[in-house]
Amino acid sequence: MISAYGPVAQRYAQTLGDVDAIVTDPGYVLNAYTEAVRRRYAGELFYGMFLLEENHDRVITAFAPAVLAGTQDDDRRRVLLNKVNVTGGGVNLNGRPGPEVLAEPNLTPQVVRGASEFLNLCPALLVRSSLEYERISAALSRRRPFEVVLLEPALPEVEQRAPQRPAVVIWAPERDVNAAAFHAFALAEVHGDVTLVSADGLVPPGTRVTALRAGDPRVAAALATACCVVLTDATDPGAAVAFARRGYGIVAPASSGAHEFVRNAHLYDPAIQRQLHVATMKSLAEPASLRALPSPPSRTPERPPLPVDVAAAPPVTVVIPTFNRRADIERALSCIEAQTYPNVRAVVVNDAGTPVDDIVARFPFATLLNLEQNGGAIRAVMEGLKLVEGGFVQFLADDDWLFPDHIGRLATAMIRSGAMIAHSNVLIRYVTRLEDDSLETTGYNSEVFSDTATPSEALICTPIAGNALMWHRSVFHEIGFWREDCGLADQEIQLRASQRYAFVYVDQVTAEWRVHASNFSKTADSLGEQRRIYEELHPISDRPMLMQRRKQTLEAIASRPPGFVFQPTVSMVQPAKS
Amino acid sequence: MITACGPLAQRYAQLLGDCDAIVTEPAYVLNAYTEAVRRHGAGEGFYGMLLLEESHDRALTAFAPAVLAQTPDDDRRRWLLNNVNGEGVSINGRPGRDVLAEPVLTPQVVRLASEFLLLCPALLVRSSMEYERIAAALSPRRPFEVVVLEPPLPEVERRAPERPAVVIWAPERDVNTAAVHAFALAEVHGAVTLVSADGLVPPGTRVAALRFDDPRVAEVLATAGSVVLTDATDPGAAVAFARRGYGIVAPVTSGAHEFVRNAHLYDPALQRQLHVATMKSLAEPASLRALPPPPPRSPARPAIAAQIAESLPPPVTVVVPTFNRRDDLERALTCIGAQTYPNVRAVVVNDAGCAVDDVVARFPFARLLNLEQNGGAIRAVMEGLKLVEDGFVQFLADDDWLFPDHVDRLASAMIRSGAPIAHANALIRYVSRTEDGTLKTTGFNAGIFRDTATPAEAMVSTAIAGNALLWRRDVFREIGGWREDCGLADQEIQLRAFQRYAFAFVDHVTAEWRVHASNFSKTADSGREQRRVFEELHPVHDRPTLEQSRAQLLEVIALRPPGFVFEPTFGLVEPAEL
Repeated sequence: MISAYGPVAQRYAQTLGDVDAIVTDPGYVLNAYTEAVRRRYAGELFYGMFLLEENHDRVITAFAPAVLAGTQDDDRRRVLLNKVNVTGGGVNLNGRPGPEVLAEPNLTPQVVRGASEFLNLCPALLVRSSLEYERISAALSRRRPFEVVLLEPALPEVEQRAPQRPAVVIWAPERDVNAAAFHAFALAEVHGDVTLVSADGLVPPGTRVTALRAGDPRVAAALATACCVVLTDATDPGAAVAFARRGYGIVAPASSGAHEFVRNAHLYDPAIQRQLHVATMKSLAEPASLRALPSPPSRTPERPPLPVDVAAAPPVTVVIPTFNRRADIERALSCIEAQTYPNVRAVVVNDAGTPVDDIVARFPFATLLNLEQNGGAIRAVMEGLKLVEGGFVQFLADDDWLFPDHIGRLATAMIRSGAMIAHSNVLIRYVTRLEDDSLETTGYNSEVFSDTATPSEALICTPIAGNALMWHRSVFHEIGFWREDCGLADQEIQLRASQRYAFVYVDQVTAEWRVHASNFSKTADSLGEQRRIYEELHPISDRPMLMQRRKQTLEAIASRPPGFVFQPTVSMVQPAKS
Repeated sequence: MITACGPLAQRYAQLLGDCDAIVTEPAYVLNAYTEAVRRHGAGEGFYGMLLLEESHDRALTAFAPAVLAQTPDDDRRRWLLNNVNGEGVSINGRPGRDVLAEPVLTPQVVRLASEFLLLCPALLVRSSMEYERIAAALSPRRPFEVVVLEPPLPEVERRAPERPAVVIWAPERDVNTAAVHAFALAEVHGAVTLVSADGLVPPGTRVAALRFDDPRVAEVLATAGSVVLTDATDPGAAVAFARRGYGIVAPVTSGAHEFVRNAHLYDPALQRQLHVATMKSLAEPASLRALPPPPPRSPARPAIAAQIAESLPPPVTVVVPTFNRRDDLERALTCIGAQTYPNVRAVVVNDAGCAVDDVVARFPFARLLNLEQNGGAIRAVMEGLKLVEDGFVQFLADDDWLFPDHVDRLASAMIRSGAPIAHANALIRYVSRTEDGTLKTTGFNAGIFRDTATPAEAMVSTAIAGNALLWRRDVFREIGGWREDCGLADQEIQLRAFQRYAFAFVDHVTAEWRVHASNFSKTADSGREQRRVFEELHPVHDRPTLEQSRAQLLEVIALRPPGFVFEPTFGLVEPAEL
């Protein structure tokens, strides 16, 4: 199933065919983000497709009509349109040097953050070329697995005839008279027939092209004698491939990546008008041809296969402490039930709260341990662990959540690598508990728990959520357990573990860590606890750079307001309180 | 046939197999250049392959051993190696960022390598990333094919690992050049083995090291979960290991991710990325995408004119004026006889010089016109043109040269586009005439006649050699011929033709323009002639930008010494005169 957000995305959704994907324009990325969360929650795998504009094209498209209107002198227009990217003696755009404007990121910091987290939530990306992959990676500082997908648009039926004179078609069916002005003007000096096929069929002022609306029956006639086609889409090589298949000479923006698929595509930078003219004269000389095209990607992103037979899959036991939250424990057990891994068990440890026997009984893979005395979550977990003899162990608070592929992915990573610990990324879901004990979502953040730590970094702190980790049972025999007396027990045990074990890193969001609005103020005195870890529990004396970073961390914590919690990246719209 | 220039090139030559290619390292590009000229002269198609280093890898490789030797403090080493591209690290007194951004080639090598690329009908590259890197470093974009060269690997029977095991695959690197990789994995809890050229352990690291040919390498690979590739420009080994199901870590610049699904990438300038990518690679095996098929043995050439035209293609008549140079004429007719175009004729116009009837009689495609009175080359050409009734016309001085594909490429371009004029690039060959009438080469320049012009630019000057053009016969009926009274007749007629006709541009070197040492001083007074073209023959009044360009060109010409000629890009070695 395809979810498309934004007008360009909706156009792509129609050509993508049968694939599980979320396609979004940058302006709509928050919608894509929430849909990605919904799909991960449902255990669906899907591709993300982020339709990022290309800067040079974006700037020139906006700038060219003003240049053409600004002077009647074609020589001067050409100089201006050739020097936008020239430093010193070049062109100013709105009072700023052209190169600066061209290099400017085309996303606001807010969109960069939303888009970067959206990518993080996507098991894999669909990109239209390797160049697009590099451009997205550079803009969003995040590399994801990807597949290249080639989308050839439908073209009119044309019977090609030998040309009597050079004839060129500028293919801009999505562009209007303004957005195609640069291309039309750049070919003003071509002695031959230049036809612009655009969305509105209007002739850009100051140019000499013939213009036809896309869909005009005369387009076929123009294509019949055209020798080459100038593509205008700076990010999509699909039309270049379709025309190359028909033997036209091909001119395409370098950023479209057309040359990855089309042999003898002649390239231009939209910031340099002359390149477009020269590339067109080259494309008259020779037809393009197709390289071997990538095969269509699988319907959904591939997941690493379990490296052993199902019968040999080691057991994974999820230990869940619970206390007086019957609705929560039921939800937690249902997310364990939905795990795709073939050998999952659960141990529920009731920390002397209201009975949950009836609930646990409904989940045959779960064992219940009722403690007689309330002792806190850590002690409960430890009691539960005593019932686990081998295999892998996962810990889960009763109000947290695992996506269905969580255990499968982490266990697979551990089996294939021989590592004793693996972890993944975690989405923070901000929730409010309603009167009926159901949870209402108020926001998300997929940035905070989306990295790993090196052993040295773990001596400072780790960005790994407690429920993102899977452990080999034997680890606890070796390094002991969570400290009951430590308010930052997760961080403290990760510190110890990282000094001895490799943390294999599954760079996928596979779990949720839930932050309750009601417990913000209950946050422990993290400054005092952090200082205790650094000074009492794990002091270091001979590593000056680490000591300095610890000091900086304490200063940063001290400057936080009381009850600090990382803010959501996405917040749901709420009625303002009256 | 493969010509390999340099030790690295020789290694690649062995992997390339049956292929027509010139493979060169930047330092050996002179050898590659002369070989490219030789092959053109012989009418051979070939690929060029330029093994350009990647600048981050180059700088880090050189810099890392010094960092490791500078301090025993691993935290400080890591900090330095992670901040080379940021604030605060200097290399040899210069900011690290500057050193990393520094081009890897000297200006002289850039110029030579650019001209070498111009001489190559097409390039072989190892990834799209490499193509973009070469295109950014060297100005012309050339046609290209991607070739994947998988190195042979030891036979290995893989076993499930007991603990995380990683192999750093650096068979071409020594203890110094592998130091950054070995150190970056110093914190991995598991078995890290460096496979290198010398099998030495880089000081300050904790890896096990094996020589690449050590039999224990197979044993190590048997239990390794992932392989860290170190070659920053070649994805071949990543492909070979991915085929065997290892987790893959590779430098981002290698382009491994274009061929390998789930390759985990690192920038060699960021030591932390290498650690994190390794922890990710342990979690999942890589797999292969659809690989590009091996390129054809020689670069594909556009359909030759004979295949475009339905029957015999239009005749191409080469008009050759000659005067008292029997040897030269014979050479010129020889190169015409070697043209691959199926319908070539020649008209030799003897400008009242010594008889050449016997020479011409040996070439059945040629006819001879003997003029009774010497009138200069232009008049001779115009007389010869009268004998040409239709088809296409090529003009050739008796001492210039056409490569065998020249007429075919240009005629093909004109037939398929309907353009009345086409042109290609020309190589300047500097020659001395020896006493026995043969020519001795003293240098080359492929950087002068390597561009086309727009009609507006042609009002100022063009970069097109006279013998690089093919004309439809009827052009001269419309715009007249060369002006006998103009010392810059080639430029003047191009100026006129450009205002009326499209010049299809075949961006390949297909001809030689020969500069004789002996006639440097005979060069006409080009300043005066240029001024006459601008002021008397083709004045412009209402185009201030063009008038300014013309004034600037006149100033440049005025600064040239008498007898000026463009210098060779490189001159062949001559004994110093006594």
